[in-house]
Amino acid sequence: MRSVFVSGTDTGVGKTVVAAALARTAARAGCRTATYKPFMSGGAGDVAVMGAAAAGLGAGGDGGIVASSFKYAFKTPASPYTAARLEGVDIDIGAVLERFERMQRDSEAVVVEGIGGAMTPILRDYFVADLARDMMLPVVIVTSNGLDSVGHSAMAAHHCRRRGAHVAGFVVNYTDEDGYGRRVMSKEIGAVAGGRILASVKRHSEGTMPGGEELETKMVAQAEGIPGIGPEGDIAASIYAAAGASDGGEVDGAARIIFGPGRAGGRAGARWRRQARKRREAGDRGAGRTGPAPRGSMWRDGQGRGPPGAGLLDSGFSNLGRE
Amino acid sequence: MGSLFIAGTETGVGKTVVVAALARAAVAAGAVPAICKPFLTDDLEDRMVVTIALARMSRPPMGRVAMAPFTYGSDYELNSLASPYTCMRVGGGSVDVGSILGTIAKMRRGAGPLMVEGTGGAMAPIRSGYLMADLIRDSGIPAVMVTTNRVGSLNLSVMSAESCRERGAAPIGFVVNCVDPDGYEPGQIAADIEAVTGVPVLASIRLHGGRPPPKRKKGSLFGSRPPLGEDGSMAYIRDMPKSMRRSAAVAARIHRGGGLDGLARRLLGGGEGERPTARRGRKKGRGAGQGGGRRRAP
Repeated sequence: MRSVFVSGTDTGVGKTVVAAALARTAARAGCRTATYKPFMSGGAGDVAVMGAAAAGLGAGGDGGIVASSFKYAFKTPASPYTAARLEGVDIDIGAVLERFERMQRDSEAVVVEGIGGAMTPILRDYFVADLARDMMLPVVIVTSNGLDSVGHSAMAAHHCRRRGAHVAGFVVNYTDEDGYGRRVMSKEIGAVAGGRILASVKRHSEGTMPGGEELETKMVAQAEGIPGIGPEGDIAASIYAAAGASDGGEVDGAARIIFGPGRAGGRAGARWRRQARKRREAGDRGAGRTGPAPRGSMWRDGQGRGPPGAGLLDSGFSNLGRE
Repeated sequence: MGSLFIAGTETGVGKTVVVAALARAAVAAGAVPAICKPFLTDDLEDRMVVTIALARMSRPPMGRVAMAPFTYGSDYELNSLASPYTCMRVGGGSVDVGSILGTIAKMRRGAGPLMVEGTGGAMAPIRSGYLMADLIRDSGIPAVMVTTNRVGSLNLSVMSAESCRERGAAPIGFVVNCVDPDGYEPGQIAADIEAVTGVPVLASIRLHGGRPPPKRKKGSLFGSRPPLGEDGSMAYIRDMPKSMRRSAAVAARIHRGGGLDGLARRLLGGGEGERPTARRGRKKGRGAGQGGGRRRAP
């Protein structure tokens, strides 16, 4: 149960790069890791990036990337809600969660990447934050350091929490040279969004990687194995970026907190350990989706909401995950 | 006449150009609009944009800038491009919300409609524990949310509308600024925003101001026409200081691209009693939000 849900404040803040870097670090630390991007749009090969960045760069130890998967791929670059309607697809949340469950069973850690931001609609009233909650995963929110990043981080975290998802922390991608600096950012995120920064990365989309050619070959091979995704130039760039973020040790601290509860330091790690223990004691493994959550757990958000899944049951989701 | 709070989903979506276009339409309808931007960053001279947009309505265009029929209020001029909270923290001091609300209330008592322009997004922090959405609520002025059609804007629109609603400042509508030619189709984004947020889209426009949104393509929005010179004002604008020249260019687009006249008449002319209503009612509370989907059991 050492899995994580990577979401963001906006499209293009670097979710895929961060997810890939996290997966890679987890794999290299000896964790049998899987990556999962339930929804893709616009044909970008995010799955290929995550899989190839982690697997192609020679993950050592007993771990490795054991699976890389997606559920729905849309041609339209839009929210799943919009794209599904345009393309006549009926999104089955139950099936999305089912595949996650299977990956969760078959590996030690699953890195799930959301789509768009925290409140990108999947159904008309089912959002990415709801998906994170129903997967019972802690959410890592990727944000940039641009002018709006603090307000947007606050909104994303607020809506995740309000919908019952636990926010593990933030990863700041310093893409904007004129944006906020590190000191300001960590203060503001703490004060306004209420959370800590797990890692700071800089998107290294330029620059060369040792073993770059080999990587690219593997990446293309992997990309070609995924229907609907051709080899694309920017995939390679993203992989380099992910590798750079991982090799530079930039996400290692975050990965330790997320994937290695035993070694994690700091409040987020302690909190996560506590919550994980509670859930283990409650014997739940996805039980929170359709059954009651343990009392006083993080899934109660203090706003009078029931456990996650209650709303889904109400809305006719009772066959969730049982197809 | 009704007043409006122009908020935005993020920086650079076109709040100022919407304000300017609304002000222009109000002036055309014979009103004397007042504009208040409580926080003014020095990046783009928002005040200039509005002034010039209004001035260009009369000929010779620049002769009457000083007599432009509107008043402008701004409590804080921020020195850097950051949220008011960050600026104040870095520079020392804090924002006096009471004085801002006082200014807004005073300006609202004037003859014409007041347009208050927000800063950044709906949850841009103003001071510790006080966000833009709180200012909207406390001002008591109905808010219009400006958003764009770029991919990713649905997320921000939903987050902003929900955040405002939770804080008691539900927006009366969206204005979609279709600046991204590769983004959503105007009809598509409007339908999706209405369906997901339950807030009506009042207008879809194509106006663009100073800061470029992501993925902007040169010349794709306003064609290849030069931004200035339509009414022979080129000579004057060449003599302007550089910062003003850009404002003038923006104003020229407002002048030509308008498209908000009808909306302005509806919003500003009808008084606050006649607010547009959402096409789909949306109950408060999470249970309702969860249960209304297309997967509801029969």
